[in-house]
Amino acid sequence: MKKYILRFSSTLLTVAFQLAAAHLGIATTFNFSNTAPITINDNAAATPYPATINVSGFTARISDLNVTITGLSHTFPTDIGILLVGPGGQSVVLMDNTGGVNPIINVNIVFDDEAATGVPNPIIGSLASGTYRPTNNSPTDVFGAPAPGGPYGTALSVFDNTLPNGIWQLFVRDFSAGDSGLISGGFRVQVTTPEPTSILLLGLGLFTVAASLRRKTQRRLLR
Amino acid sequence: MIYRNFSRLFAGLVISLFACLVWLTPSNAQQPITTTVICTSSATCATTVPGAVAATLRRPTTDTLLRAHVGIFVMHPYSSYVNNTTICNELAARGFTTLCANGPFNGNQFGYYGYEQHIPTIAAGLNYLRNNVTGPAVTKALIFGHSAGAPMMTLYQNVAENGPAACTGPEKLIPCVTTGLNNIPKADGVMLFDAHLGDSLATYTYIDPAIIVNATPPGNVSSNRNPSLDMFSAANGYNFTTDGATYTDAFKKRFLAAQAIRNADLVSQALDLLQQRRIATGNPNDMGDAIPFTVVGGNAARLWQPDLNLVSCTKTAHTLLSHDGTRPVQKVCSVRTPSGNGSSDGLTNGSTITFTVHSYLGAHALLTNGRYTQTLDDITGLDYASSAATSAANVPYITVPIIIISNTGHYFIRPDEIIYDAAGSFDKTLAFEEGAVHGGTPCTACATALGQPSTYFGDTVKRTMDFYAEWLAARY
Repeated sequence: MKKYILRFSSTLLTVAFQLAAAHLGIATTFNFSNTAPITINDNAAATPYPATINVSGFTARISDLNVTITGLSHTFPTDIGILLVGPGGQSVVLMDNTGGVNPIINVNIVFDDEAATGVPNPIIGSLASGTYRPTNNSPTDVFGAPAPGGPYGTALSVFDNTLPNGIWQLFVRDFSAGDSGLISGGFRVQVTTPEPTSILLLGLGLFTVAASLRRKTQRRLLR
Repeated sequence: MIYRNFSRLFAGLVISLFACLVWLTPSNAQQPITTTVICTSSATCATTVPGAVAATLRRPTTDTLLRAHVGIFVMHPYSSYVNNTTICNELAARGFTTLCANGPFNGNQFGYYGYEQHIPTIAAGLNYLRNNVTGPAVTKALIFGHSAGAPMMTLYQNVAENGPAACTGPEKLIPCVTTGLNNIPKADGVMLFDAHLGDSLATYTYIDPAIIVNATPPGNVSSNRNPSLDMFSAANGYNFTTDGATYTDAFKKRFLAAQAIRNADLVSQALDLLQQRRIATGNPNDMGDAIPFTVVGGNAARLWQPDLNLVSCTKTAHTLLSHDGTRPVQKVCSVRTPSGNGSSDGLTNGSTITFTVHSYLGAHALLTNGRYTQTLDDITGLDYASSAATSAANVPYITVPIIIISNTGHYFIRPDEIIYDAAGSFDKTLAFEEGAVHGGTPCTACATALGQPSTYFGDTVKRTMDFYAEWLAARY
């Protein structure tokens, strides 16, 4: 009886540790990039359209997702619309009709639901590099095919609890005549999952249970 | 045989002539009218047309055209119409009964927090027409809105038909105050004349994006300016001699985008102030009436006024009440002359407005739902439903007959087409009066600018009022 209590306590301890670890937010982040430039053509779809990233090999679901645009330059940033479409078809407008009316050069933007502010829309001064929430000031804008039709999501949390495997598509479009731009460093998708730490702990727990059962079985056989 | 044919031809001509006379007589005949002053102060109006500060009834002296049973209530949110001859006299002279009133905010354009404050007065006007006028009694009562009277009257009818919920939905920046809005009488029709899209559109399109600092106390409008966004700058295309301009596409794009940004910033600031007040007072229903809200450069920087290439034409064909008396159906463009505010308030502190948070959000603010821009034949990106103070937000829910006559000597050509397109009534009419200024009289400067004699556009008031008379006679 004492042994059973001991074994049970050991398993319980492992599970508790695992839950505690999960509660502490132990997670792992993976970065996937396509650094090829994206040319933002005046009043038209960008080239390429879409830019893509292929992700594979995941068994874990997304717990958080951020996107980075590297080297964004444009003569009239509010012209820009950027739409991210995940492998499952979920979509979110990262920025549209924002970024101000003054030129920007080589700006790096991280889109993160947890950022303090949306993408600024300055009249005086220019948009600076930074971390911003997705911001759509023109929800009636429609990205042309092969992008999906609207309505589009407004937060990156639309990807939470989905598998990241498959093709991520970034549709960039210029929505007004007279200006153009470039994303010189392409884009990066930053996927956070609760594994492998939690999976490791789960495996450790299961291993402990299995080992104890095995010992128990061996003892029975020896009897 | 020849004689018989001639007789038939002659008889046919006589009948046709008679038919034409019968058809023409009702709309064009001018009748002597009797004018009765109903009240001249809020005290005397309290027992007749409560809420009004003046009201005058006009009717044909003798109801020979059998139209006096049709009553028309005319009011404007802040301008005097009690002595308006173009509308009140001319419709009465065509056989109808008109009750023209000045409302409680007469002469006080920025004194109200929403058009809902005018609703009890309009209800009182309709009740007066229906219940107090005899010999003959008024059996059909309509509402007439000229200019900013249009969004006010359309809100009235929307609320009358659909209840206070018409202006309290979550799509509104701030819900209307529903005091006195229940069970108000419905009008039998809505008449709009050179209709304004609304105070909220007016302010939106007047906000000057060149203002650098919007502060309290207000900064100086003339020196507190971003040169690259200054529509009143010769360097950007403004002509102070004509108060006209021909802006480049790049400037228009930049100005309008910045105007949208400044509007959005102001809305955000007002909502933040309201939220802070509600937290501070613990009153979730505080509407911000005690919070001053100053907009520096908020009443003059409308790009389409100096630049005739903006918001000047309709998108589709409509009836034009032409100067020659014909009524062709065609795309219509304004014949207006430039009317920029560069020589008036555009560069002075006269263009600064002090609202309250409530009056700004309730009557003068608007959201966008797309890319705000202005072209030759459109204004895009505005979310009219976000404000109860826009005609386009109210007309979709009005079911009674509605007529709009727009004046091509002014700049509400496309705005009135937007209202017409949005109108939900199955019986809706839109026509354009060629060469009439905003008030309805002929635009002599427009004629001159076209190289025509100053009298080129003829009697615009007669053509307009005849058209209204025909429309009324055919329905009521």
